[in-house]
Amino acid sequence: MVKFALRLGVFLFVLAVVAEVFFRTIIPATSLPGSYMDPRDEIFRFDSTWVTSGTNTHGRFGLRPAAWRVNSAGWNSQFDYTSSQEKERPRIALLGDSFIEGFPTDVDTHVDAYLHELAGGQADVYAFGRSGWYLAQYVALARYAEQRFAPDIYVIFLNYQDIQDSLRENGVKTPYAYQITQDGAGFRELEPPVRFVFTPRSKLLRRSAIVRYVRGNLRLTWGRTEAVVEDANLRPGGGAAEAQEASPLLQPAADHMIERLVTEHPGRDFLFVVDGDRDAIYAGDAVDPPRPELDVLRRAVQGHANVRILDLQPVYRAVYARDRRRFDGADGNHWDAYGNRVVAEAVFIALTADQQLPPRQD
Amino acid sequence: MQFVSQAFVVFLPLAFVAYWVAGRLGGGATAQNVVLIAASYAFYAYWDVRLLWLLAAISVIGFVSGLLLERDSGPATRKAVLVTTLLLSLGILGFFKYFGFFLDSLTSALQGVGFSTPSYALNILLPLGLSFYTFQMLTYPLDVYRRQAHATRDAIAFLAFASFFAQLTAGPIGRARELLPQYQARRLFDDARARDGLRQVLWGLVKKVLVADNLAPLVDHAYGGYQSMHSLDLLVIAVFFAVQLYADFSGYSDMAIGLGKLFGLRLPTNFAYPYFSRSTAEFWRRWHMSFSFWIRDYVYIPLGGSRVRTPRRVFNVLVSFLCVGIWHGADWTFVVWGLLNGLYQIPGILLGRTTPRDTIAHGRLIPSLREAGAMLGTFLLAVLAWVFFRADSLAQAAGVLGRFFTSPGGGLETDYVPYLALCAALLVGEWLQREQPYTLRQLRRLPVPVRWASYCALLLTLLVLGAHGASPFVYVQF
Repeated sequence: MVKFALRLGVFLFVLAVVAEVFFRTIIPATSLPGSYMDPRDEIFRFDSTWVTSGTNTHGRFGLRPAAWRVNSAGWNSQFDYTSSQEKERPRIALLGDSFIEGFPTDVDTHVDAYLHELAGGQADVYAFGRSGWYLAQYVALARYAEQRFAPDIYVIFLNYQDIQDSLRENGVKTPYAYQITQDGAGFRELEPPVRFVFTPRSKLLRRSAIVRYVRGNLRLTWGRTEAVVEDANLRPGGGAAEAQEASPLLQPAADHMIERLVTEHPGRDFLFVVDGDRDAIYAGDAVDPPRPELDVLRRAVQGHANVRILDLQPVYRAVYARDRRRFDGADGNHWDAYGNRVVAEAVFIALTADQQLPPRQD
Repeated sequence: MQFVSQAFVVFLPLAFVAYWVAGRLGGGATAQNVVLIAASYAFYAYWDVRLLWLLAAISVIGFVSGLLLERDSGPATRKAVLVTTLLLSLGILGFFKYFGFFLDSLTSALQGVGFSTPSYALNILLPLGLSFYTFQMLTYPLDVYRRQAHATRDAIAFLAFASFFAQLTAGPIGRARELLPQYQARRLFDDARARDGLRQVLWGLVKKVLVADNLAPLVDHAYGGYQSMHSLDLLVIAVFFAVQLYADFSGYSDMAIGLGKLFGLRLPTNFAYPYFSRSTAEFWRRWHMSFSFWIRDYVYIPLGGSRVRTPRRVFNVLVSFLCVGIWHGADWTFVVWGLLNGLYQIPGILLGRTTPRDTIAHGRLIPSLREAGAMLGTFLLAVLAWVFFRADSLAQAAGVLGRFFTSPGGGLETDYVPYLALCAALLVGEWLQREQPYTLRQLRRLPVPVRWASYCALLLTLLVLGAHGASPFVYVQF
């Protein structure tokens, strides 16, 4: 029996070596940065002291490689962020979920990269995105961004049910995101329920290509919650609008969160960019499906001169009619490089139209 | 607990080490059996601890009946003991498996003839593997009654025999007279046999995870929307199901037998390349053998078997296959499937055909035209019958079969091509090794580097191309 165990042990070692080589060369396993909840500001972000660049791959064949880079502030961006004291030009903060996090495409093809390019160096663009986030998280995130980087304009990306998911009454949607709950006549902010720590064990395991392949590419877990849920927003269909019964709490919750944003950041401008229903456009639907949350948001921003909304639906519709090209990648949901470019251009046009950014000279 | 689960990856090494260490520490067979019972009950409890008593109850019924049957009492008493044992065991099986079905059928029938009866919705939990371990246990009192086996006084050995986790949930259904003596003696570790067992487990895993679980979603999807499919696609789906079911169940059996070898136990063969059969009679000698032989020995032969006049033999065959169908589940689809397989046997009986005992194209690579034709015909008959087996209702089966013949047109769905290649790869691999107990067996003859490279390649293929976390074993539901 000892001989059998020894032989089996040697075989398993050989197998592990072969598999490591295989998943580093033949089918490259995905590599993703480590995440943790920063105890200083209670914001979930990437660990900039660990591996800061890599390639995200998808599926069992390790396809669609996309390069990422964690900057010194712990965000996936090709730019390094400087503190508010070192501010040299206007700053635009992009707050969003996995669309802004941007793992499906190369880091230099994200909205922030294109927007920076479009601004012609007249503004810095700082992106703060994590998968699965929603409006209540952006309220907390804006406080963090304000304190550290003092942006002049907040561009906040919304999709799906970002107001509904903000309410704890609808359950915990993302364990590393803030939510709000009704408290008497008003609302109260709730901190993320899980304090994720990037443990030495996780760091060690992630060195292994086999582990990364099994967890990241095959998405098999050992029954525990992973700190990195990079595709929490990935829902079938890719449509932004899921017609739903509007909760009676939706409007007061949206009013509360917009009010918080405006009052906590006096003098700042806000642009809400609301994703459209791309599937409806691809399907050739002439009429846009209902989007209850957009209506709620429109009512919530009324009376706030410094808060505007950019609805991407007419943008998508016009660009698709012109180019006949989809905006999303192979996952059928997140923008590909082209989609990122289209959105960046739309945001840039909106900001220059509002004279929040000067128009480009060229 | 499933064989293909993370829990089992932890469970198996623990059980394996505890078992062999217990055997070495001087406890002998009893210590090994105690470990095996503990492991098996833990394995079963992991699924649902509430029904553990049922496994214990069936085991106790079997053990006590054996002792009573062994006593030197008169034939009437012995018969009464046997009948009581059968009534108790089959009563439990019948209640959990068929009571709801009979109540539903009765209610429907009464309502059909105009009676106003309330509909009772019974939600009886079907205990995992109940049909398998009940049938395995029943071989014991039946064999003792027939004086083909002696009763044992070793309750520990009997409990281990009745509950061994490898065969608990989906067989193979062993015979007490073959298995029980193995539990009564101390098992010695055999390095070559353990390696052979691991190899067979690997092959079972390949069939399950790579083939069956990849085909399952296609089949499920097609049966959900067969109304819009054309004949050719439906035929391909029917073939996919035939391969899926075979890969799933024979994969389970290979894993069970392989695990048995790891624990020093010889479990009965359950599959012998059934799709390479030249007749439906031969098919049933090669498909789910432990069960079809059970039916032959304890139903068909007691009815008179083949040594009766032809009409009676036909009747015996039909009754046996009706039992086969009903054993699979409380649904009319299984009844029709069983009877259809019975009907398949009738031409052979009427023509006085004998079932070949050798392997097709023995000693040759290519079968003769006649053999190939017979094999293809048998396969298609099996595919046709599996439609009833897979369908959720008779109406669905009729709908699928109807479209087989009435919806020509439309080319083959291109998405099916890789899966056809997968099926072909499995069948070609099995054809080449059809004289072996299982397909990978001959790897043992290769030099270590080649052998290990093959294992690595298979395991990596499993990881990359397998369907992980997919469906449970099909036969576990029976």
